[in-house]
Amino acid sequence: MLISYNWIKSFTDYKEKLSSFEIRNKFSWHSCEIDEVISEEEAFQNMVVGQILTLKKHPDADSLQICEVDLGSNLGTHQIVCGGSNLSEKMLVAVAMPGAKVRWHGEGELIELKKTKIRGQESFGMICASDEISMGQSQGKEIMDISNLKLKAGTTLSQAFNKNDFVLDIDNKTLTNRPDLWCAEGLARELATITKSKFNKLNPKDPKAPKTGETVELKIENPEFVKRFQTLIIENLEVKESPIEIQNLLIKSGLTPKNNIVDATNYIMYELGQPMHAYDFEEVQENGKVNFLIKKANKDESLVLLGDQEIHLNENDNVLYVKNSPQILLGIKGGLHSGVSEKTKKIVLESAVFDGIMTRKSSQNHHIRTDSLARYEKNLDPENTKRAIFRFIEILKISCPNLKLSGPITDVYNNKFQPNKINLDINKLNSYLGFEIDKNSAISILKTMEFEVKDKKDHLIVTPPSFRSTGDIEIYQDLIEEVARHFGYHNLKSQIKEHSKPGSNLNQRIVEHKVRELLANIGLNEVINYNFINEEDINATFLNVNTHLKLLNNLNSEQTHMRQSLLSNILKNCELNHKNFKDIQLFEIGRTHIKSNEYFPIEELKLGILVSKKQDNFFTLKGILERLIQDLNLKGARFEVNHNPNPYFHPNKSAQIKYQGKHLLAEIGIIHPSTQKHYNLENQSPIAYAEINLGMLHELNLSIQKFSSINTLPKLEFDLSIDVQDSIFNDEIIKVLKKSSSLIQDINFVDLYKGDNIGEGFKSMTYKISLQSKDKTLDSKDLEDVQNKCYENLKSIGGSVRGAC
Amino acid sequence: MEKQLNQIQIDAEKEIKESSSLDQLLEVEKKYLGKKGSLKAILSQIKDLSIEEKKAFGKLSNQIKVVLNELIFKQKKLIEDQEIQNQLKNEFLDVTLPSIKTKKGSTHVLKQVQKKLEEIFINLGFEVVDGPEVESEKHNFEDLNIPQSHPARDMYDTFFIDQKTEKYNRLLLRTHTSPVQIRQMLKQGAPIKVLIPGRTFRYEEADATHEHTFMQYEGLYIDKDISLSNLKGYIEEIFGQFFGSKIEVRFRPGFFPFTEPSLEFEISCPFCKNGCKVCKYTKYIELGGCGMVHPNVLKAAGIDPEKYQGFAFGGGLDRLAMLITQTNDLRLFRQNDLRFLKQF
Repeated sequence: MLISYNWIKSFTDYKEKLSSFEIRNKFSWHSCEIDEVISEEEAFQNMVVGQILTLKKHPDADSLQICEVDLGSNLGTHQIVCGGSNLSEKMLVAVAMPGAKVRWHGEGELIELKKTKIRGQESFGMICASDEISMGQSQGKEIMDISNLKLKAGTTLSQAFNKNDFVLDIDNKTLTNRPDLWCAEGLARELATITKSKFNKLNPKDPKAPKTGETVELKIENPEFVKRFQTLIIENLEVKESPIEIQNLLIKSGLTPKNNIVDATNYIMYELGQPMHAYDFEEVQENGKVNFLIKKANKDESLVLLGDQEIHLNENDNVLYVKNSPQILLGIKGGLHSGVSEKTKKIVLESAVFDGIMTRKSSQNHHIRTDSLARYEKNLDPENTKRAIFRFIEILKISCPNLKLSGPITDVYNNKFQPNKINLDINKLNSYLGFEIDKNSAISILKTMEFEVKDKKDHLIVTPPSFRSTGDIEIYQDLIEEVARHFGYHNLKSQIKEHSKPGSNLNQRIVEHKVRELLANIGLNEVINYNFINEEDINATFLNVNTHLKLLNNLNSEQTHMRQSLLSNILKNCELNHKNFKDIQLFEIGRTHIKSNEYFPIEELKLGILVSKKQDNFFTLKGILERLIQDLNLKGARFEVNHNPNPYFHPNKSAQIKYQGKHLLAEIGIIHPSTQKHYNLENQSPIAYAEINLGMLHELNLSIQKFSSINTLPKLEFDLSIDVQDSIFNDEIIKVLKKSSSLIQDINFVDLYKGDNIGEGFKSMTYKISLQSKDKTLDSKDLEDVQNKCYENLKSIGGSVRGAC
Repeated sequence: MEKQLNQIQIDAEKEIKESSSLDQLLEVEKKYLGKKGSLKAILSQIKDLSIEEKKAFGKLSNQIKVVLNELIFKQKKLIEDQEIQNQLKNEFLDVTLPSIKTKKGSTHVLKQVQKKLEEIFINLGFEVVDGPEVESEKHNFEDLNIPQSHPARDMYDTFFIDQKTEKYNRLLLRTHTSPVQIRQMLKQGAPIKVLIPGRTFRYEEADATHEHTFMQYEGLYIDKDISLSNLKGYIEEIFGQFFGSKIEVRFRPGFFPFTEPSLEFEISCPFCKNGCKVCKYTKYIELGGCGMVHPNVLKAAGIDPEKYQGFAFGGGLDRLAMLITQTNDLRLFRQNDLRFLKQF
């Protein structure tokens, strides 16, 4: 909302002149946030009235003249080059001096003037045309002649044009709960309270409508929507321009003046916060009578609104019907046909209050936001409608002094406003503030805001005014806010409470942070992705689209579903970064969602790790996971061959980690080649990925390992190479070897070899095996026994040992 | 004889001091103190002396031996020092050559900020708590005193999921961390003193300063006598610690359906005294919203608002990260470009 500050101020006896910065602060610290304070004066900085003393031709340009201009006693006389077609000596002109900002030829951005030479002749700024300083349209090449103002040279232009106002720009969001602040009068009440000055409430005169005469016959079928509905028929009208002062205020609020009647309704909306509507009597009468019917709209009817917008009505709309035809979308926008036109002589004036929520719902359906809606949706004060009518007549009488009220004001007002009494316990007030406030300053604040206050020593009985009683002020906490903000939040103390012990973090969060730091320390980079993926991602990772949560409203076609795995988005990160990096190791800790039979989906905390280097991706990742298991002290976490891997893994290149024998803690594998290709990564070596159920690790085993005694007896070692079928896993061989003797302490894999002297479909595996006894020094006999036993056992998996007899 | 001994001492001392290398010194040592050295040679004449003389002579020769040994030791040290000095003088390392890199990864800066906040709150006695990202309309709105069709809902453009029940209404992506207040109060009652950091969502297009996915944090402290002055105290303490400098908080009236009174808070710019780019030369930085928890919210969470009262305050964690890193584009946080990530 844009609104004139001088207008607001005119409702108070506050005299001090404030800068735009101070105005903004006054409101922002105590009342509502002001987005911008636009100073009229600032726009006319470095501009003065000048008088042309002499004129002579520019020696080098036919269309230009050199003017000697008197800029008053302080500034003296200066030479200005000008191309205006209407220049004459003695003329008073608007001079923009160096430093002024003008719109060159009335077009484009504002440009700051500098002292310059035009075709070799010095020019101290410029003589302005009206459109160059936003003072209306210019005529051809004419400059603005202000001789008729009869001012002294040197007078500032802001003074000359009386431009000393500020326009406040107030955002809708900051005033969601304050319908009373959507007008000059309401803001003035705040200003008076803030500045401790007097607030002069507007008191329009009762126009004394005749007791009998023409009235509107009103039928309301949806009384839950209509809080109050007043009408008045006015005749003897003449449609013309509004008085200039009214036009100016409307322009400052960003409205385009239309005619005296429409302008008056808008003026009152900005002055008192009450939207009004004027119907052309001729358009809504039937045999000289007006019958209004208010009800929920008939489905599928259409209504053409002001501005030629046609809408299709539905049962959420509340409409006024005349002769079975919808006329206006109540509370939101008038209809094109029944509005005021140039021919209008007689009107039906409506001043009403509607239910905020219902009005809002209707407007949302049609995506229409209007000034009227912005006020109605906040629930207006039904006590305000009559004042608005009185004020309308006062305003309209300026342009139509002979207007006549055709009959009495009709009024349908079902649930009359009942004042609410709220008990404000002084102890509560102090306890909320954290210190004792002087009771009298609290009372004085409430009274300036038009609250009725009865002082009962330890508590106050407070009655909020009607315009604060539509959902705004309901409980004593609301009163505390009124007192606190006007008393000033800067007066609060700064106190923290003693506490006996520190708080704690979530166990799961501790695990999360530990994992994060560990992985970063060993060279991985953490990413954070959105939760969103689309159906293509789901298909590319071979997951089931039906178990994914789907957004009802999405921002784009890339982000339609909630991820069930972190993989898709990490692969996208991988694709992005391969443009700049060869070796990529990324991880993400984030939540995934799976549809469930319950209302809430299954939400899990996952850790995804991706390794995409030139080679060894799988075993690099396996090493990372082993390190993780070690550092998290996850005893009983074991790698196993994954015979039934997640479908986004290569079916034969995947392992799993089982925790405590039963829980699936993680899956690791090479990404399915089709998946890898889908993310344009087919030129990279097969990428390894692991997804860990981090949520499973609720608690960290942070206990320090128990000591196991150090065996100082000497070790014996031997190497063993065995040829086996390709399909035999290393794990199986080790298992067999281990079984062979209790003396075996360690079995270390040394090498895998495939080649010429190994049969097709076979591989050679080499291990270093170390033996140690707890109670004796081993000799060559022991070694030979173990070796033989190993050779023997390996036969069970079809292995033949090289060099064994 | 004594004279001879003294002469040996004088000669030896001179030669020791003149030795300029360890080898030379070894020679001198051999010459005077060695098995075939001059001192031994003189001692061979001792047998012709009287007992008295023998004693005196032995004593003297021992003294000389001690003195010379000490002298040799000192000279040896001197020569060694000299040699090291020479070595140092001649050796050179181009320390500007590139290092042998240790593997360095990175944690995400948003998570670094989150952890830092968690630590500060924990030290002030807050428990960190958490709730689901996919939330019910009831917890996200209705329990927080934002009924259906309330204009305040405009502040929260929401992602919905096709799921609805009578009890919980629609399923949605939480628009703020506040539903966790409700969950936690229902779980533990009052008093309660918690921090809730977490991921939140708004249905709006991303640009340099807006994201549909972002992180929030909020502190909640309910007890019998928690006041606005406490709110001020905690905000000053927490952000003072966070930015590592004393800060001052400034409040403006605000409106949130779940607090009454409602305030917006800004802090004095931790990066300057007289205005800078970060605070846009205003010396203050807007951080978030706060207030005293609305009695309707306490009621919805099963807490008696006549017995308990307290504050909640919160804001965008992304915003804190932007301030600390002086990043001017919010989108960088989730683009996951390694050239960005590796900087942290």
